[in-house]
Amino acid sequence: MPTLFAFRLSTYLTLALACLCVSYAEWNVLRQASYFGAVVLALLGLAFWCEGRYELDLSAANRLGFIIGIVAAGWIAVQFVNKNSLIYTLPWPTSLLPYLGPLLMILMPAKLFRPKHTGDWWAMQGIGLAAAGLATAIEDDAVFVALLGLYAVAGVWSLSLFFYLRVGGLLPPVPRTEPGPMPTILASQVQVERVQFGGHFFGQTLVWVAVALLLALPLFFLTPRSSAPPWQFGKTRLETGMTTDQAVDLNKAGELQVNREIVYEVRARNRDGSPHLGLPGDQRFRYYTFGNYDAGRWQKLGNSRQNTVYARGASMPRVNVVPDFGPDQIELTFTAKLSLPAPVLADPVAWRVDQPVPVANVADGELWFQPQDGFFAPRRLTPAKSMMPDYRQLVAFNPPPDRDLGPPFELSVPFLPAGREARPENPLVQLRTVRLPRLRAWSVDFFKRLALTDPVIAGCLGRAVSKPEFQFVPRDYEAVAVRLAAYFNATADYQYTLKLRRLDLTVDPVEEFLVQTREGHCERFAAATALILRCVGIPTQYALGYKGCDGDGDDSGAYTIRQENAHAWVDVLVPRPAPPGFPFVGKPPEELDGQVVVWHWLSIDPTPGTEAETTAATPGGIRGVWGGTVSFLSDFVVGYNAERRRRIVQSFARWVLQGPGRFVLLAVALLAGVPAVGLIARARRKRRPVVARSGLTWFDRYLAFVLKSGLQVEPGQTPRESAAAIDQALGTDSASLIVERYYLARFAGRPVAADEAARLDGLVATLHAKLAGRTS
Amino acid sequence: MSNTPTGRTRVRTTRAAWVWVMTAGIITVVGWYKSINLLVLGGYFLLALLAVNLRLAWRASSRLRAVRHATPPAFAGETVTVTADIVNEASFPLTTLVTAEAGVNRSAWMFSPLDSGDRKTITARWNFARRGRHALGPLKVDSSYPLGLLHVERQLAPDESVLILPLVGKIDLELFRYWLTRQEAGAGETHRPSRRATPGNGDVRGLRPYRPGDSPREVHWKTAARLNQLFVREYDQTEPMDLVLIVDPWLPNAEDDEAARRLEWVLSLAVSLAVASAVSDSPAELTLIVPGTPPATFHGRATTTFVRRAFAALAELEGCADVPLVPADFVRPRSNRAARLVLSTRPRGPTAQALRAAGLTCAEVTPDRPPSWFTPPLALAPTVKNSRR
Repeated sequence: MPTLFAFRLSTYLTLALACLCVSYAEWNVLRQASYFGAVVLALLGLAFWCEGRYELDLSAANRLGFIIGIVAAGWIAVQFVNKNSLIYTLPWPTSLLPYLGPLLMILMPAKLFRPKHTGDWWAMQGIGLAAAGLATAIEDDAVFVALLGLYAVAGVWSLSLFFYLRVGGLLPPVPRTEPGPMPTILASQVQVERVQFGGHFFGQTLVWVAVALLLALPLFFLTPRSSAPPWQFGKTRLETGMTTDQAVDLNKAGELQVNREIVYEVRARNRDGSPHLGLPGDQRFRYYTFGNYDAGRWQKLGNSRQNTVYARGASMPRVNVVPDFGPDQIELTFTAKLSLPAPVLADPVAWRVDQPVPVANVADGELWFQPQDGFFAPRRLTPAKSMMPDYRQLVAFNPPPDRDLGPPFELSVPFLPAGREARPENPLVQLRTVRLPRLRAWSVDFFKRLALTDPVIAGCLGRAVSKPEFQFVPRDYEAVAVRLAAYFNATADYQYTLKLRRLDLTVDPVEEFLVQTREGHCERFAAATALILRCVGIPTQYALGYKGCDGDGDDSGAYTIRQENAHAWVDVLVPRPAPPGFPFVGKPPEELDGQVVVWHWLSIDPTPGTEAETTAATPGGIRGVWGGTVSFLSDFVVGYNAERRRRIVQSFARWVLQGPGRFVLLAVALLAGVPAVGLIARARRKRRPVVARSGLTWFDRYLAFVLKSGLQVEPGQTPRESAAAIDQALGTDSASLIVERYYLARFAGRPVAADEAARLDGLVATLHAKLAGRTS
Repeated sequence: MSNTPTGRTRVRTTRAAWVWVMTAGIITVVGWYKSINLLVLGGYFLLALLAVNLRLAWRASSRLRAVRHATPPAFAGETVTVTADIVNEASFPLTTLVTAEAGVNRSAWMFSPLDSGDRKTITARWNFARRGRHALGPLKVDSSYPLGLLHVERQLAPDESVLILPLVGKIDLELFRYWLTRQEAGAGETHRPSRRATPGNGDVRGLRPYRPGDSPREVHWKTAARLNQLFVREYDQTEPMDLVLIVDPWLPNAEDDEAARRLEWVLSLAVSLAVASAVSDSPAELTLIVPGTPPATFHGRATTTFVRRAFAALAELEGCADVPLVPADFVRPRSNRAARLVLSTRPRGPTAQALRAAGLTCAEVTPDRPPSWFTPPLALAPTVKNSRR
């Protein structure tokens, strides 16, 4: 039997781990709860020390519980009054979840300081489980999973010790219930002498937990996934990929989890209908564009057409015909796998001057045209939350070096240098707006430093103007933007990482990135680049979408876009000389430095490397094991989704049908089959009546008759007694005669002659006849 | 000793298990609906723990064997010791609970654990307040190892029974002998009995001079006359008191609690006399006659073993309104020292009258006139009080 101390230790440890889970989970959501958890942990320690020394009587404990309830209610009321609390920032009723954590935690010590019976121990474990469940709904990173695992082990350990003490009658029963008899505890001598602190039971617990996990995991893997998007609680975009709220918040900190969920399946076909296999691995797909930056958040500019910088595009007006891009035309068919409010489209793509805009069409055959807005910022579908229907995009890509250059267009407003725009609502003003004075000075200084090593930038600086504020001239926009992106791509001063840090929440995250942390993911690089360029008068937009796609490898022209392909980059408004025959509508056409120009959006990507490149190196040793565990958790537990399940099933099927799986399965079946056959045979033997063998054929026949007859033979009856009972039942004396002869043969050593054996067989036949007559 | 057939295994779900399943279900469904994979896995983990509990409990229950020992008859109110051997036939230690019950008596033994091949004897000490055959409920293994959520129960040994004899009261033997002496010439007797119904003395060892206080009956007159001095006989030991007990279980109405108590009083008196005789220095020859067709007769030296065996007849005796008369031949004395005692629930019952009519001397005891030498057990005391009113 385990000691009471071991049981108490296991219980308090379980509760403490449940508190730790809640505290850890709420650290990024409701930090007060985490501080509160620390207090509860201290109270748990105190309660553990006080156990057996001091405890509140029932009335005092109830009074304490009442006070705790009042305080909790007051705290909740304050949260309702405070308009900045989570209650108003998270959707209802999810917003109440973080507040349940402290309430559950405080219930633990409140229960622990009072006299406890069996029901109280159950209740405390229930509270602990509820707290752990709540924490699971809030957090799911690797550290939390480790804490949860420890909680599970401690919980099972505590439950098993609880079983011993409860069944052994060593804990007070629930009041007003009828307890069972107080058991006498017996044990083998070896077991009595064993140290019974609980370590032995802890070892067993580990085995049980492992077995339970082995049972639960296959069930978990086989369960069909729901169509609901992964639950995210109070941690916007802390994993790769788009969210339905289209929010870009650079203030978030924490480790970005890689989400391999499939967003779109794209099928590429050439103009002749054959599969197109040459879609670039770094193909970008635009999702949304943001023009307004404030305090770490990117937001869209107004939807009004008047706020756009482009007057019209190069192509023909919207008509109900599809364009023809010649032999380079590729038709992309997008099939959405997630519910996102807007479609993605390949970007940038070439437009033809004499052709309609690239189009997308919905499944019902009705043509749906992309807005003629100069780049592929598609319109919002309504209703916003519906699953996007399949749509097509006809594209042709620009050849290098202008692969990232968008189609030409005229500006809707006259171009003016920064600071001289007439109206603040001028879209050019908005695309140059930076509300970070320190960043403006830093940017100018940055380019001056960059000019020391980059002659191109030095030349641009030479042409730059400083009044009314420092800015590059329009013809240098493209060069400066490209050189800046190249700098971020190559420099060792700024590192790519998915572990996002925020050192000082009072500092703008972009400023912090550029000056202090110098590390981050694509969003930070893109935001910093866009703002630096704005600081030197170059209009920019922040673009969000996907970069790269995976070919299915079956030459079908099918590609998948995953959440892990989510990417951010920058669109820079750059002028270029107008191509011959450009259909200007503006009067007069825009001229810069005596040259007629048109404008393009140029996509630049300042992010150094990709997730794959930065995470390719796998450390060894403990870090390697930890990394592997985290990767497993990320891929197969936390991030396990319908697509991964489908792939696992496919891989397994392929392994079984085409690979060595069939042999492995056959071996497993054989290995499992042998014991199974043994078990079945044993079960059959159990069901089959046992026929005794006496060594005397006539007596064996008699025994077989007894077993088949169905006549009741009491356990413990001697053959003579059972024979008397059978004779009485059948009205004969044959059974007694047989048995008496058996006694003589068996115990008196008188053998049975052949003729006598025949007579005895006759007696058995008589019994059969009697039985038959009785049943008929 | 009896064999131990394997009983049917039954799984009993505790309330905690239902709550456990419900919790696991809610966690799983919420986790699935909201795509919180950790919750789904947690729910499955809880269910898997339940399965582990069931498997281990099943294993623990299926490999335990028991051999139940026979339980000898006992008197009501006496502690009955019920024993059985429990053997672990598994190749691993077993942690489990074994339970046994008989009416309100319940006992449990927790093996924590019982090593492979080990054998332990379990002992229950129970008390039965009423006479009769009491069922010893099934000896069961109730395993909920290791989490206590699901119980797997299996009968280890079949039901048995124990015979409980009537309650034993206190008999003052000296007073009883004196009472019997007085009954010799008791009121209502029309003639002096030809033979004494009182117990006699033992064999004569010799003579000794008379001392004041010696009974004049013991004076050996011939020697006194020859030696002109009073001599009295000296005996080896007091002659044992032989008793013929005839029980008259007249019960006019089985529903009548008072009548039932009177019957119990009578049976208790019979048993008490036998026990008192058995534990005395000189156990008597005892004959118990229970009316019937034919009457049941038990005869033997009043040893404890004999009393327990013979008086088992009274354990399951049920009263009736038409008690058959005991033929006089059954009551003929086996020795001259035998005293006949009719223990009846009714005064001047037909049994005693018939015996007297046949010329047999007998004394009759009924609850209406409880003798002073008998102190009934506490449970029957109210009967006596009521009857005295």
